[in-house]
Order: sequence, then structure tokens, then C-alpha cells
Amino acid sequence: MKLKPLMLANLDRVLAIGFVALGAVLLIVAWFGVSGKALAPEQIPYLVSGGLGGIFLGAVGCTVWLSADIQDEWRRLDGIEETLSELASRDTAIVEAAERAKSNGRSRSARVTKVPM
Amino acid sequence: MSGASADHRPATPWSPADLTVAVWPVVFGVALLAWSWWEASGSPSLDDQTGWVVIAVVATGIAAFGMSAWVRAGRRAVRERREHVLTALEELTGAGGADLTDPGWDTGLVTYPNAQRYHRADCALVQGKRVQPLSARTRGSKTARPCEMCEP
Repeated sequence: MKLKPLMLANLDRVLAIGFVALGAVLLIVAWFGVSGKALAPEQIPYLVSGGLGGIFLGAVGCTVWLSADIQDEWRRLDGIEETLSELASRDTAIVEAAERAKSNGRSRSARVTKVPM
Repeated sequence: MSGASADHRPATPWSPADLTVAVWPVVFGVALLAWSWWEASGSPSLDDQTGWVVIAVVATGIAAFGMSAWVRAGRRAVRERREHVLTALEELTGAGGADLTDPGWDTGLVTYPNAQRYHRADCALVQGKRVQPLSARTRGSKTARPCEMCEP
């Protein structure tokens, strides 16, 4: 399967991976920033921006991925509901036809009994 | 089948109210996180910075609450829709369908609605027909007879 159509069909998941990757990059940058500083007051801004920011972006990515899963399930339920509607209307038509055939047969047999022997 | 028609079916599991509940905490959390970073990076005192770090952690928690509210709302909508679909399916198959709660439903034999006989699944008389599994209860009833052709 070609990559571009696959990515276009799963744009939300591509976005989710992007967020998670960006979060991971931020965490790595924060780690490098913190490890290069000797004093705690110089390390804390990296902890807030890169550390917590990276965790936040990772959570956004997970949320987007889960949303895509939920949306997929919603679409599948759409399809199932449509099929059920079709089946229900077809079954109703069959029952009506059977009842019509039954009532026709009954009236025909009633006519037959009226014929003098 | 009861339920919403295709025209009235929402395109997504989320309502505008769900969007509001999810977006505001995320926006507030991001703003608070950015503010905490700004204040923490501008302060030389470790004590002041520690306070801002705590606020930043709380901000991340608030944003996480918004995101989890979004996912929970979506899952709840899907669960309700799934129950609705299952109810519709039960309504559709309820009258003549197999009683799957009967532990002995899978006898390996089949029948079809209004049939007086039951058959083996490969019997020529049921090929092409919409068959359903025969329950052990139906098999034991006096009204059901075995097919003379496949002799189940």
C-alpha cells in the first residue's frame, strides 16, 4: 500500500503521531537543557516548558488517536444501523406479502366451499 | 426499526456541549502553563520558582481533565449508540431467531421459520434458505421432526 493515500485517509492519526513526536522532542530538549545547567533556578524553566509541555503534547496526541478510534467506531455503527434498517424494511415487506398471500388463499378456499357439490 | 433516520444521525459522537466542556479546560491549562513558565523563567529565586512549578503541574492536570472529558463523552455516545443498535438487532431477530441464552442452542442442526422439520446444516433441502441454529429445546419439542432425507 502506498504511504501517501494511507496518510491522507488517516490524517487524524498522523496528527496524533505528530503531537506525540513533538512531545518527545520537547522532553529531549528539556533533558539536554537541564543537564547543561548546574543551578536549580536555571533548570526549572526547562522543567516547566520542555518537561510539562512535552507531557501535555503527548497527552494531546493520545487524545487525538483515541478520538480517531471513537470516530471510526461511530462510522461502523452508521453502516450497521443502515443495514439493519434495510433488513427491517425488507422483513416487513415479506411479512406483508405473506399475510396478503394467506388472506388471498383463505378467500379462495372460502369460494371453493361455496360451490355446491 | 426504531431510532433516528440517516438524515437526523449526528456525524460525530460529540455534541457542541462536549466540545465546550473539553476545550475550555485545555485552553485554560495551556494558558496557565505558559504563564507559569514565563514567571518561573523570570524569577531568580528557587522558592518563587517552586510555586510556579506547582501551578504548572496543576495546569497540566486541568488540561488533562479537558482531554479525558472529550474521550469519555465520545465513548459514552458510542456505547449508547451500540446499545441502540443491539436493541434494534434484537427486535429484528427476536421473533424467529435462535435463543442464544439457551446453553444447548448449538446442536449443529438448523431449521428455518415456520419449518416443521430440522436438518443437518449440509442437507440439500436447506441449501440457499435463511436457516437458523436449532436449539436443544426446540429439538426436544413434539412439533419438531427430523428431516427424512438427511436423517439428523
